[in-house]
Amino acid sequence: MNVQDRRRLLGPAAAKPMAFSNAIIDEQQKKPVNMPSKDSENGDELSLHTGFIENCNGSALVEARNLRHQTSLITAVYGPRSIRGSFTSQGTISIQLKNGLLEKYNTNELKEVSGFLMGIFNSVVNLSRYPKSGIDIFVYLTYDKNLQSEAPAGESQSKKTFSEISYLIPHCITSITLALADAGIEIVDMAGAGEANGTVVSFIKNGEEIVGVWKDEGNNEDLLESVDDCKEQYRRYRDLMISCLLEQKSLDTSSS
Amino acid sequence: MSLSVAEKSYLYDSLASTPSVRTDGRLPHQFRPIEIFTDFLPSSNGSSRIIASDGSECIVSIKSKVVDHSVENELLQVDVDIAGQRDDALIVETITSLLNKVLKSGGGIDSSKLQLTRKYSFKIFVDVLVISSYSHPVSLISFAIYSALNSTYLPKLISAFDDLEVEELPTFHDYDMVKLEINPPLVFILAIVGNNILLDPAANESGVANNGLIITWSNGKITSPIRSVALNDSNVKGFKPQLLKQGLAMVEKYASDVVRSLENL
Amino acid sequence: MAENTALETIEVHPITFPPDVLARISPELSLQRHLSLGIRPCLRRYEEFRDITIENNTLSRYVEKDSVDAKNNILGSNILKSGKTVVITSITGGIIEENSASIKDLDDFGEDELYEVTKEEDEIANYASIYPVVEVERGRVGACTDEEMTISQKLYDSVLHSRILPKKALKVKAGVRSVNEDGTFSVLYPDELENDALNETNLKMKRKWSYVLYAKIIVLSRTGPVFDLCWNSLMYALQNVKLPKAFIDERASDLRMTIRTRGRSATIRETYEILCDQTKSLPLMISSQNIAFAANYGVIELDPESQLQNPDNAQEEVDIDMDKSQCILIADLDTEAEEISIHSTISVIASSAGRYKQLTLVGAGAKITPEMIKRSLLLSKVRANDLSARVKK
Repeated sequence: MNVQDRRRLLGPAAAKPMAFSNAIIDEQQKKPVNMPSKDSENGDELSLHTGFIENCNGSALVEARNLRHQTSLITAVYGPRSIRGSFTSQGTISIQLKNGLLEKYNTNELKEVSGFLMGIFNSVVNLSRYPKSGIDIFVYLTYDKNLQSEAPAGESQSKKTFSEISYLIPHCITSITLALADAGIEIVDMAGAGEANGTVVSFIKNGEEIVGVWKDEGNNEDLLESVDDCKEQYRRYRDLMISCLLEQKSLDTSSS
Repeated sequence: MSLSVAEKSYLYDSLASTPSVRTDGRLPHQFRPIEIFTDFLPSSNGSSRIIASDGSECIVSIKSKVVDHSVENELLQVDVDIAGQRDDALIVETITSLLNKVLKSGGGIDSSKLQLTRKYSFKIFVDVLVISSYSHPVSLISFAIYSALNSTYLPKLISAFDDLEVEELPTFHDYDMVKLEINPPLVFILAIVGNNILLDPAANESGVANNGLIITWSNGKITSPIRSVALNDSNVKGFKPQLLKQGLAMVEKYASDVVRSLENL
Repeated sequence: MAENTALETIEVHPITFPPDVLARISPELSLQRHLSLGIRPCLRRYEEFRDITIENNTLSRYVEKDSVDAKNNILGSNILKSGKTVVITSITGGIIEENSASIKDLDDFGEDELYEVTKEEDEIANYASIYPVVEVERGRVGACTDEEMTISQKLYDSVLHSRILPKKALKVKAGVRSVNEDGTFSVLYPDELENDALNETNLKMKRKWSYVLYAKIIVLSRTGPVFDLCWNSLMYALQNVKLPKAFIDERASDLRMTIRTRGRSATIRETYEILCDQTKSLPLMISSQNIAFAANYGVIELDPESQLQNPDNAQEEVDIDMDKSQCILIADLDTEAEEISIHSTISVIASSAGRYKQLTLVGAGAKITPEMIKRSLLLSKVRANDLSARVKK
């Protein structure tokens, strides 16, 4: 299946992507450069924006930074728009996760996450309000960086790359929820998620209901404790989302 | 066969009632009967074919290769093909990614069992072909992988274990094979209907389920990955946190029975 | 009869629409109405450009001065915001081995044929281009659109013919990694001339490599034509590209193996990895005098009939305008209305010093007069001056 894509300019086929050596970097890597201060509450800094993309119905930008990770995600919601074909009594949601600039994750892992997110938002969006229409959601992982100084040993590194995506999932959920709200699409409740020890739990209704669970590694003994930690984090994210939306709303009304 | 709105509502109510009434009369933790055949593909190291009572069918073939394990981190690789689905379909990619996580080294699989020498290891390729499936096939596939890996025989090493000093490739015995002794994890799928949890949901049960759980069981305990999974597009809802706990408890209680019956093949 | 018709006459009320509704149902009319007031639907004047804000190099692996982001392989980047549109450009690299055969086989952009055809084109063979992939996000999945393909190809051609990237700048000055006595690795580069011994080993190296640059350009929130935004963003990104130093292993620097195939013995060269240095890098030496920026213009005929009538002197104005149609030049097209109703376009790529790299005229509809071309060339130079000043900050 190695067919050259003739529609895109992909350059000469013999060129190899740059491979960086990893033998001599340790000293530089150890320096904690620009680390967020440890005493900042829970080490989480979140910045939320909505409605800055013109050619879609709703959009959101989430930038998050904590001790381990720095991420920036852009979400665009297109829809509800009519779908072709036979009548459907309720809307359908599709979510695409795109690697963006850093081609960091496998496509099948991204697809798995987008399938998981689709499961969550199928239960969050009030789909019966949108018959014969589709809501397409695109999430671009614009920037994603591991701030943790990693051990150079191969084993620990390979472990880390696997679970890294679970740090992203709560932010994906936050940004999709914001973008849906920005698009004016009816949702049951503000969905949010928290992450603790590699477990991601997504909630609605003030933590009364779980809409999604994702765990890639670790034992399950701490799972139920992690659920409580996630709930706390979810509440914090949800409050931030609501204040962000209210601020946006007051900006809109004052400008018009 | 798709159900009408009224049929779905009836089915939902009966599944959500206490105690839940399943259409085929099963208990909440009861599996449908399955048939497994192993070691029937002569050209692969191990194989199995699993048929569920609803006609879902899946074939797994195991092949191996000798690799330098300092270069290759992952010693098991799963490839899934589902009849009627494109290779880049969501369900195919999701199941591939999930199973690769289930079988990744260090988690459910003891990679030392695959080590040949100081330098080389076997790399196992697991090829899954789902011939037909009516409900979420991941549980069926994992049973098939389990029985295929348990019927896998790999060539016997006759060269020395310590090959760091001497530059030589591992050599194998002409006829003798060694049984592969790894304990692959199993994946269970549970449906959440109302406040009830049902193990091994059939197609019609999946169609009305509010949510689903994927739980991995390895070496006598629950391990990751654990997921929630939407079993349909139309009926998905949130669930109460204690249902997660109940689901885990149910798997904990009955998984060892499943392992025992798979081992007694 | 007169009475009958009078009875059946239906009184027709003129329908009025709010401006935003009119803009949706008749963009042409809405545009003409705006233009008659001396402004455009985006509230800019005819020759006013959108302001841009740029962020350079925030995504690349060399963001922080004293450390590199090990997992990041972006060599240079730019984020350009113009109006509502955001263009994110990231430049990554690859390495290709330069042996004459492979270049001839694989470079299908006709550089070699051009070499033979004319002397002048010969110059071009000394320059390379970048391989751009443009993605204009519009909520669709699947194959790339015509627009994306056209822009990518145009960017490729324009970079090549603007002579921005000399092939010399892309040569890999490969270093050699050797193992010291204590088992540590050290890498020596030919440009860090410390000892002559290194030069000797380097001379032995017969193989040559060069860098290949790729650009990924993502356009979010497209509101109008985007070629010049992509081009400008690419220009900014190219100016901050840093190429990592590359090295090969000492043992492999001149390794040959003799193998026997079917009785004949042949010498093959061992294929080995050329690795890039994690920390050391050199800036990409582009020919900075050739850096140019793009601007686009449209020409539209004012339609006298759709003028907004000033109630005071409506009558006279209409009389005057009906006779001759007036064409105007509009800079930096944006919004759907302008894009679909303006068909005559001028596109210019110019450097701040007044070197013109590209001029595209599309005449469809309104007539493009020589004065307009002159005016657009002048405006482009001013614009390029403005845009190139942003880099230094």
